[in-house]
Amino acid sequence: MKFNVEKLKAIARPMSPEDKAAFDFRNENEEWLYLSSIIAYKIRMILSDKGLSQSELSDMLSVTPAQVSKLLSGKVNFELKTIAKLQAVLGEPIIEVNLLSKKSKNTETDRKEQSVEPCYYVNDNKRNSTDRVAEISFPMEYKICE
Amino acid sequence: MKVELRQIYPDHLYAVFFDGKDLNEYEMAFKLWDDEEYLVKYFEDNKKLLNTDYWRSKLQSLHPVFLAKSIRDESHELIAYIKDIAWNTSNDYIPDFDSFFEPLRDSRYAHLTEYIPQKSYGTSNPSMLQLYALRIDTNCYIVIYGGIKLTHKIEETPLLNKELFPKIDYVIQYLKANGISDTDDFLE
Repeated sequence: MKFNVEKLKAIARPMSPEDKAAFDFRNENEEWLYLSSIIAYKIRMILSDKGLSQSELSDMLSVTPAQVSKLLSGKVNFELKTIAKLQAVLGEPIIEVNLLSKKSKNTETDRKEQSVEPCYYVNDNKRNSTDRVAEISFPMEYKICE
Repeated sequence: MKVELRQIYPDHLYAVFFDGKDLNEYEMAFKLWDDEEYLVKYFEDNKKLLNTDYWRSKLQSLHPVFLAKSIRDESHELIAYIKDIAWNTSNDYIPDFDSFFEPLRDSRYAHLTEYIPQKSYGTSNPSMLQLYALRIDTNCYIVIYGGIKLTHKIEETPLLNKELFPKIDYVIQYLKANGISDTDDFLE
């Protein structure tokens, strides 16, 4: 069987605005969407472990079931306020943020290759207030609590 | 049902658009593969198909939420991989699209000697994600459907069985009707 490639090229249209929007959105927002999907996954697993339904979570958060559904879609740019509220009502941590002590480039590869030293804010009265407890630099390493 | 062809990576990868849908089949596949609600429900609805020695030995967990997360992760990797494949193809490197797709071995297409629908896998091993396409020319494909295959045979995964074969047949008819395929030797 032979195909007429030129005819194909002639009749194939560019992506529709809807296709292009979906294509571009994915490419431009991949990193935070990935983080959002991890957070949604963590919430779903907590719900599953605790035997809670999405409806019960919506009651606990005093929001509509549709809002919970959106949160669990893994496509929400979560506010810290929302995460804090979720952690409070679920009684479990959802994310940890480890502040890195080394300066690095803001790339995924660098983050993986970098040796991460723990860094603490210490409330220690013995310390001189001028002591630098930790040198804080970005990026931060996100860790989903297991 | 009206069909159009849409460019994904022009000259190399196209996708079918069925009238009435929001997106072409390529975009639709990746939209669903990144839809947490859809995926969790899909795995809940198909839990019997996963409850096999094969999947138990291959997967860390059969929990629908875990599987949904795995699919989403894999689909993100697959998007990036296809982007690389497209670049390779345009620059004469391999793997290219001809390496990415392979013939779909199904008895209903056994009579076709020169033309067989194609399939591709995701990035995991084993992968549930499959893109199905028609090969038009060297490194030139039309994506017809993307699905989650849970069984050895397509026919045993209900949604795949219901969606894929009619779409392949419909697109072949469309190609014939629009002079893209040579109908005379179609059944050679």
